[in-house]
Amino acid sequence: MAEAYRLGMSAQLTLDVLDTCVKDMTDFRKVAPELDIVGIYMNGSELTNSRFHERLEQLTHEQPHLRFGLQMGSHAIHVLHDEADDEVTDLAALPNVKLGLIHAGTTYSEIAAFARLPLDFAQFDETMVREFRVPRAMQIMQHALNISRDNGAYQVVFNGVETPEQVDFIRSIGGSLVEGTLLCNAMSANEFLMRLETMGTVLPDAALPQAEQA
Amino acid sequence: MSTDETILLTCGEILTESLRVGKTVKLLRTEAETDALTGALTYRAFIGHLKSLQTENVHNLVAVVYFGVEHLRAVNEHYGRRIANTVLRSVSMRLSRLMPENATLSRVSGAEFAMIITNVTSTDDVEELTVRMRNLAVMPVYTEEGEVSVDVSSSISFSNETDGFSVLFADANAHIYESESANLSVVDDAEAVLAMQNGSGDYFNASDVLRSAIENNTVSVLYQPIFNVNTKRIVSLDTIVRVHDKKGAR
Repeated sequence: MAEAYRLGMSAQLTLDVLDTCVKDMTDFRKVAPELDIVGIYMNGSELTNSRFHERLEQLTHEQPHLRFGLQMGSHAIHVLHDEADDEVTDLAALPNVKLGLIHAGTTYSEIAAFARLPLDFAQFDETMVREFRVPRAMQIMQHALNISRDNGAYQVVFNGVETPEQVDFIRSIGGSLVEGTLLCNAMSANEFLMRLETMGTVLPDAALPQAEQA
Repeated sequence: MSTDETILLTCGEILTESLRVGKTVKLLRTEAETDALTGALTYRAFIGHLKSLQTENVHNLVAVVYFGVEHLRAVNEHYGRRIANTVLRSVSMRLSRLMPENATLSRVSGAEFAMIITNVTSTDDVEELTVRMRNLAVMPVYTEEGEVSVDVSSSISFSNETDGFSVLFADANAHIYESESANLSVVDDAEAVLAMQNGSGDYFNASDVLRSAIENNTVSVLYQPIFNVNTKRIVSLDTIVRVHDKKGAR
């Protein structure tokens, strides 16, 4: 009973986050209309929650230009179990929904989810990016990018980029999508809006000093 | 035997017995304050140590560094408790290896350790030490089931002249919220023992905190841009959810 309550609450948390994102993205898009996708972490319980499905469907009409990247960690995939795959596939069929795997490359990531779910993106874990000089980590990231390019099936994002050397490495293997403190810290909606108003969506050259020299 | 000799003999016996009892109490206390799985001190010992430092000298600059073992639930589910316990023990040993003499390490929840450093002279030194400890702790752990990835987050709280230790206690509470929220019903066979050692009265109910945060609208969302480094533009946003208590602690 307590567990069910907790899971119900988790779905509510994601719904709250979704609504906050919709409100904030609406403000962001007044300054930068090209921004149309926001990633939201899934804890698993919301993926089989009818209110969550209804809300996303409703948003396809209310906010047709917004897209939501639903990020699936190992916990979400475990919570789902096989029988819920159809529900998630229905969810992913919505025009405003993208499904993705996070923590990719670690031993706790669920790479097998690619066989079960229509995933649109994979986000490499920061521990992989941190260990980019380790041959095993390097090969995994390289191969994942090769496969994504061959099939054009999914995008690859590199999380936790902290140094210009990491950016150089990602570029050298053909990667391009990165997030991390080197480029920009996480910030509140107001702070991000201020950034958009002053700098737009451009990454200043100063953010990649050594990478530019390399 | 003279009266004086009898008195001296009696005093000697009392002293010997007192020392024996003292040693036993110390041993029992050490056992009660030590986490059986990792060898670190317990949450109760951690709070007790902070309180005693506060009483001893409020001007003593103290730092508390938190190390959270991320994804322990996933490790537990994939490999089983034995391997998850091995990961916890490895992280504890690695942290202890770089720990300075003026520091103690406690396991403050299922997946989180806290290191108290006393007589801090430089906050930069603590930050540099934290990075070194974290870098060592995140090395993969080689187990009988093969290599297991480890991720460890870290954060630091310092006492200060204005608020004394209150910020340390507030942060300690906030960390228990977060850690227990992220790892509910995870961990090791010693979890029940750990909860008992720590004393349930010291713990906050994570569900209550989360419910309260949702009801009171103290859940905030941070945005981290994802860039395309070729076009040098933001292409999408990632979200990070923060749960605050009523005082704003995260």
